[in-house]
Amino acid sequence: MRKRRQRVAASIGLGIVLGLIVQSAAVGQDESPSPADEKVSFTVGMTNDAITFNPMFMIETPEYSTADLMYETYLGWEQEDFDTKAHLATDWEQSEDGLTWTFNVRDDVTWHDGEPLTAGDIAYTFNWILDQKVGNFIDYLPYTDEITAPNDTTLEWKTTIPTSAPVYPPYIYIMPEHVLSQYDKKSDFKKWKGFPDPIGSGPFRLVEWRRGDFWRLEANPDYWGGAPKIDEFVFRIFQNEDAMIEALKQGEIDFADGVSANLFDSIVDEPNITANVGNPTSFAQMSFNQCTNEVDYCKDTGFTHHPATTDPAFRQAVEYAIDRDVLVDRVLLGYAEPGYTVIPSPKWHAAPESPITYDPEEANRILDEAGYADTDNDGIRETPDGEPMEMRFVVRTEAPETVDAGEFIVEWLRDIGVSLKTEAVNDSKLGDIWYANDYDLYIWGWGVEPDPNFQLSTYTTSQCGIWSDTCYSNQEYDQLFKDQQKAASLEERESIVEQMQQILYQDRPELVLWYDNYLQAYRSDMWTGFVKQPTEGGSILFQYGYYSLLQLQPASAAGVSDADGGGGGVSPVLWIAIAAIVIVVVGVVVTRRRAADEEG
Amino acid sequence: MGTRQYVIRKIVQAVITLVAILVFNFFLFRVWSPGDPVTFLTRGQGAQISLEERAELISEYGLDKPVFGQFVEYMEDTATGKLGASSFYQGEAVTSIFWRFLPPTLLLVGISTAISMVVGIWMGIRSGWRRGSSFDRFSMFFSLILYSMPEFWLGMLLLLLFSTALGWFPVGGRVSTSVSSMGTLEYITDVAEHLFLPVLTLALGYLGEFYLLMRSSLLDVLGEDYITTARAKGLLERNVLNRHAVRNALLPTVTLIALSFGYVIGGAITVEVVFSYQGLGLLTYTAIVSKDYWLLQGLFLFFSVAVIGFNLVSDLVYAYLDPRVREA
Repeated sequence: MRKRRQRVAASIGLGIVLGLIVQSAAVGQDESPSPADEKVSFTVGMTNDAITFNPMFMIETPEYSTADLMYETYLGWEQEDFDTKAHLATDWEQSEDGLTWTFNVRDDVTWHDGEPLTAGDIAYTFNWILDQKVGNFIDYLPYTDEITAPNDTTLEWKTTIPTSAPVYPPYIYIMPEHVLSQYDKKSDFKKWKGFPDPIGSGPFRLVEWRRGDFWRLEANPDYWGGAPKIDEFVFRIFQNEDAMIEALKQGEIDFADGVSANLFDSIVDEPNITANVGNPTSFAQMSFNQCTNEVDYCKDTGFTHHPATTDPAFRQAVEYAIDRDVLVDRVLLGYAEPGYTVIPSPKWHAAPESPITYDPEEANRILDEAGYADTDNDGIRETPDGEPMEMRFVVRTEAPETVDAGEFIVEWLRDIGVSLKTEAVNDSKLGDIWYANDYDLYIWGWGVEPDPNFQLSTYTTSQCGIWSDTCYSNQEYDQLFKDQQKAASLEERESIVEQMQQILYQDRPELVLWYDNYLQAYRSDMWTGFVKQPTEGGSILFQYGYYSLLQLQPASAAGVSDADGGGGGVSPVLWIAIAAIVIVVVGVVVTRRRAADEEG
Repeated sequence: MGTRQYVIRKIVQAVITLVAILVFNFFLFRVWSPGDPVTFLTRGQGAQISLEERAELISEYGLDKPVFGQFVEYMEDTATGKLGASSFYQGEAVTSIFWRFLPPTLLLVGISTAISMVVGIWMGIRSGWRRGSSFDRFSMFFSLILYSMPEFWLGMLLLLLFSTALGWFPVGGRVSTSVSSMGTLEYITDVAEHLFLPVLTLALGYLGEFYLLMRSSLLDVLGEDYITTARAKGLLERNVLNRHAVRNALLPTVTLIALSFGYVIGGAITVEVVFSYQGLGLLTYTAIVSKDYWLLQGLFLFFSVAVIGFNLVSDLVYAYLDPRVREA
């Protein structure tokens, strides 16, 4: 009796489950809408999560990539060559005495909440940054005397010296005055994570944020530059890059950004994927500890390094011992270029006057001449004071190419009688080592903006303990840095920027090893409309401006091909659930029958 | 006598352990660890952090107080449930971060543990009962392979097979990006699809432990005199197994079950990485890398509470199941 009831209960349960499954499968089909009202959604894979979308306090790349879609800058960057162009400000002029810049501001721009965007919003944003000393942006506003908005379409920027800094242009997200004015203190504003209800003026707006999984932006149909051709822009987080590339192959995502060389190499030949090799926007460098007691920060906080790292002859010998071509070919599989100076962007790049190329014999000769001899015949040279040339060398576990490159470099330096002890650490640990100036050499890298101001600032003496890689200190360089900020004309600034790059190359506080290509890939069977910036070998998305973003559209809509994602059909989970239930039912029936047999 | 004293003794022991862990946590994270979180924070802020702002941050995080003062404050805060704010998540409360990461971890690790437990114990019983049978040999072989295989490796193999080659399951994540426009059933199916591979990986990975323990403990029991007696009484083999052997053999497994659930909230970091499934394991890793003391401290507290709590449960359940324990 008891048994029978169980069996009845089991079959009722089974019926309910099967019913649900059939129903959900049916629901799935019913609700699949006609292509016309389906949202056109573009999904990008990222390997870094976002912590905040507050435009004043962001740190990670995906945060900036997202803010770029929502908030605008008052000047923009040309598609062909990154030259300054009109954006929210339409035209501008500098006064006779060079101390006042006057900008005309568009009158047809509205914030996402419908309020008009005025010159007052721009002035308010800039002044808020100056008042609150917002670290991310304040360097874009040097020599500022006063920034005001005499009326809704005019912005006046007075400077303390004649300078072209206001049109370099400042990479500052303009925020509405009616939002910013609610916050008197930086720390209060920082509590707002940029979500919910972000109000910008850009072509997209963040509407959903599932932390750790994805975030979704919806198109702003009223965007003054024209509505985007897609409805949604989605960022999806992966914890590892391999999975992200698999997702691209499966069509789960449409675009992969900043792909590493070896994974990129694995998808170059995939049929439905277009892989774009973009101009370098970043470099990797090997830094030599330059701390001396001359630099206040080093003196105050202490430092430890091998005496040779501050000897120019030693650093020159190291450069002769390194074969950049081998690093590019073997470590980066050709997706990089040998690099020498610290500004890769074509507009400001200065090639070295006399680049040093691989020549171990010359390296040995320089070391001999500088008094580094192998006095005890152990294959390792000693300094004139008798200290062995054994140094600590730090590479990054988070960037496997630096570990591989490190192996080559260790071999090459052994050939010239210098012994390196390699330590591979995560970036957080390397940050500690660097901050404490307790190292001899390390490899790290920089992403470089189109404008060279920030990158050049990192080599000035006052940046020691802040952004300086090596605590390099050179008064001539420091002066030139100020001069380029003040430069009244573009030509003047270009010549100073070139001079600065040459000084860094000759002093070599660090050796630039290579310029990484910017590697991106997308589903070419699904999407079209990408425009390169710059036109020659540029990137195809996440640009300085909305070139690809506003052109991007499904390939089928543009009549290229009718690619169907093929997502239809019953979910495999349902099949597996059905199979599991069948197995359980059969199992139960069989055991019951056997039990009945035994007992009966 | 016995039972009440036993229970009280166990509870007191658990509380003492917890306090010891609290003290240890404080020294581990505040006193002994190198580098300070303010340095980490300010680096991200870039060039313009002034010395005053730095001092302000240090005092905001209470790092300027003497160690003893910090300790007293820490104990007070912990006792009142204030676990501080995370530096990595820019000031979000540690408890709110924890509650956000807990459900996905419970779902993933909880389901996997439950499945591997049921299947592992069932296989262990069958295997031990019919020792030397082809089922026994096969499942022994199978379990040993799974037991010794690193979980991330197994996960990647399953990912390659089911996602890349067959395309049956999504490559990773917890939900699809279109989740906000789904109905309830669609949503459940979607979550299940994303859970399937990570759960399968973990369930297979945990299986061996339950299987091996259950099998060996059943084998021990089968050699006991009371089994021979039961058989001599002419009981059905099935009843000998279910009523006499399995019940006794389950005792060590109960401990393992309780301990496993204690570790459930610790998450499964390698599997979380492979399947881009953000749970408490990954959160812990993030907290360590970014030197987020408050978050780490909070997480360690939660983990300790879970492990100690389930240990206590296991002690109590054991005592209930086996009177010898509480009499001893």
